Amino acid sequence: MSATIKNVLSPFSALKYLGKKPHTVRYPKESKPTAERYRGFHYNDVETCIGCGNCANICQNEAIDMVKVPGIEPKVGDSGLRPRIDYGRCCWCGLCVDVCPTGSLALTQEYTHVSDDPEDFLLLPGVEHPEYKEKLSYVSEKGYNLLDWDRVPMRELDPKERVKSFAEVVLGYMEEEARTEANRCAGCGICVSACPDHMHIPEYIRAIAEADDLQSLKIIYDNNPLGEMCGKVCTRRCEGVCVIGHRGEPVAIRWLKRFATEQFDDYSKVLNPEIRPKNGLKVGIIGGGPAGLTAGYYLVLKGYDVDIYEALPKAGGMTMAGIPKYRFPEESLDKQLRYMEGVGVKIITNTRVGKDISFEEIIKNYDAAFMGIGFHKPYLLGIPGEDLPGSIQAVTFLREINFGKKVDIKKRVVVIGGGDVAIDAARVSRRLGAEVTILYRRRMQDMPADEEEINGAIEEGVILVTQGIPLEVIAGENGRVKAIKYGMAEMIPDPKGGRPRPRLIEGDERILEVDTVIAAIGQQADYSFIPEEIMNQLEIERGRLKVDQWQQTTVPGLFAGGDTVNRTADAISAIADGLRAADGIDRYLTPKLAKQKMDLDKN
Amino acid sequence: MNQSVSISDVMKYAIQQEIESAELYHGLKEHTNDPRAREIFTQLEEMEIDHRKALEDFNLAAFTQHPEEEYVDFRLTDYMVDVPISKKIDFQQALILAAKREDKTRQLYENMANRMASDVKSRDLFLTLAKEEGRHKHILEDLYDRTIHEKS
Repeated sequence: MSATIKNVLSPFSALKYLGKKPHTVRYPKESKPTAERYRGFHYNDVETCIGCGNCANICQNEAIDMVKVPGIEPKVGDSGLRPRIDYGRCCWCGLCVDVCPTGSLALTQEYTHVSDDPEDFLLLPGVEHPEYKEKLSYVSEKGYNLLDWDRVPMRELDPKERVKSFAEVVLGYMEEEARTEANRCAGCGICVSACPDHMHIPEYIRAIAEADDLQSLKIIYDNNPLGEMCGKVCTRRCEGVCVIGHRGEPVAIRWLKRFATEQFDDYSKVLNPEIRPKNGLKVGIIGGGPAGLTAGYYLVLKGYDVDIYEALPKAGGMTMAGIPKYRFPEESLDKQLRYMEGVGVKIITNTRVGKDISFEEIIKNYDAAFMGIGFHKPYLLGIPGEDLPGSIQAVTFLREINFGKKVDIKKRVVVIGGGDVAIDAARVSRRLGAEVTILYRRRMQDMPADEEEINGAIEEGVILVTQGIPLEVIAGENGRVKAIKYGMAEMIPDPKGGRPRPRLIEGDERILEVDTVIAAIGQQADYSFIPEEIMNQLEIERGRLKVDQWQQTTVPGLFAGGDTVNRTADAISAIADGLRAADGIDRYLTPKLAKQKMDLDKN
Repeated sequence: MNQSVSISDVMKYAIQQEIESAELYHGLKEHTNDPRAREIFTQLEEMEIDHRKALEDFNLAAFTQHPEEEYVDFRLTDYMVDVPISKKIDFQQALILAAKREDKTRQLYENMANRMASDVKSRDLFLTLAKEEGRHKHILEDLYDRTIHEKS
């Protein structure tokens, strides 16, 4: 090869770059700016994150694992887990950010990482490299998110129409509405931990979305035999933690359950649960409320003979005797009771334990017993004039109305209290044509009643007087209630962090002329039917019967559930207690069954 | 009681009050059918017995162990009707009865303190006792608010 002049001179051509900036990496490193929406390494605000796992579920590369992080404990509405990213798999598509309901997960402008440690492919965003927070680039914006934030509205009767009758206020979803609403569910299951009964919420909602309502019903009945009841009146703790609710409206879990359960008129034709052969053992249940009915249903499925003793003419407990028909129609309860009885649950109504049958007989005649007696005994106002004609208790009033009796409340009613019972009494009174005032001792935001119910009452014309303490029920010339005297209260903060407490302001007393006073400050259990020697064995802790993890009281073989046991005092908690008790009673009686079988084998 | 009363008389009187209270709560505990009422009466009886012992031992420190603690008088039971003592007394009635009794005792001690303005030692002793009774009332009304008004 012969050398040309070009070959000889070409090395000197580099001289023209002398004095120019080099294109190679400089030390110390200078990062080049990225695009505004660049998708670099993740950052997660671990305090906002609730560990729902939507990011991990959607990741097409399976690059995200939900892992335990020291210092973050699981709680209701937060799994306690946080995403860990494997950058050997991540393709920076950003789907994880697009489905993050809280908006905690983001991508950043950070893109450089050099390490010889293979484990360095893994990053716990937010826990490791918290400084990435300063370089957020691809963030979850509500308008560009894959989640649907707006709930399908529920149709209701117009307030003016509502007060004319006891017709059901909520009209329920049409099919298309239910499918659309069901499709809003992210399927994360965070709600399950908030449900006292741990219902399989994502699964039954998925079935509704897929138009498989029967499958949805079967999933609901797996651990709740009063699904339609819950679909109408559940306190829906699940919705309170729904991930969509963090930036939008929570999925209407209660209304979806209602939709699925209302698609079938006769459950006995479609459910066909597996029922074990009769094992010859009997369980006696005191109280036909949600707890007793649930325990009874699942015990029958396990092969036990079950008798439920109900003091009132119909089972259902407070859902029959307390909740007004415009919220929970009697036909709906009847449908659910019919199915239970068809399966084999025996409900003996008009039979009060302690009067029509003794507690001792129940203990003696059955292999195990369950008590779900509820809170039916009202607390008194304790003020002068409370015993006047025209001064009544809300639980008594609602029971009378629900069982079809007439109560003359006349034209002007004051309801005292701020819980659900007070709101129910007020709205029922409106339906009976009265002008109604609710007198509540604290502020509106302190009311324990469901916000929807409070709003419903106000829409229907109920007047709310807050920070008013009843002082005296005043009699008219005929000896009947004529007015109520109340005093205004100032609120004292609770150093223990609870609701502020009202204290009467001296001298600020007012009179409200009324015909009827309905007291609804709370209820308690009535244990008077239990013999003293058994009562002495029952341990009571902070006003509730002490039970173990299987709902067994301190008296062997005696189980309990519902309001007398749990503090949440709602139907779904009672159902959860009943379900646990059914398992507990089965465990308790298993040795007896085994012995029975051994004796049979010997013979 | 006149103003020439001695500290010893004051103590005897206070001890007698505590004995009577303890006896009342003991009797109610034995008779009530309500387990929660029984629980509260048991606690109150124990409290009164402790106070009686403290007074007998002249251990006023037992009463002044919460000097900085300012309690709020909710006046919750002030406007309620008196509860008759009976075997059927329940938890709610037990709280009202006890709170009212503690308040009456507080008023009594305060009146005594006012009458003894010139005897600083006796006055301070009665004020200490009054404050303690007021604290008991506060505890009972606090419990009333957290239990009876739990859902209201």
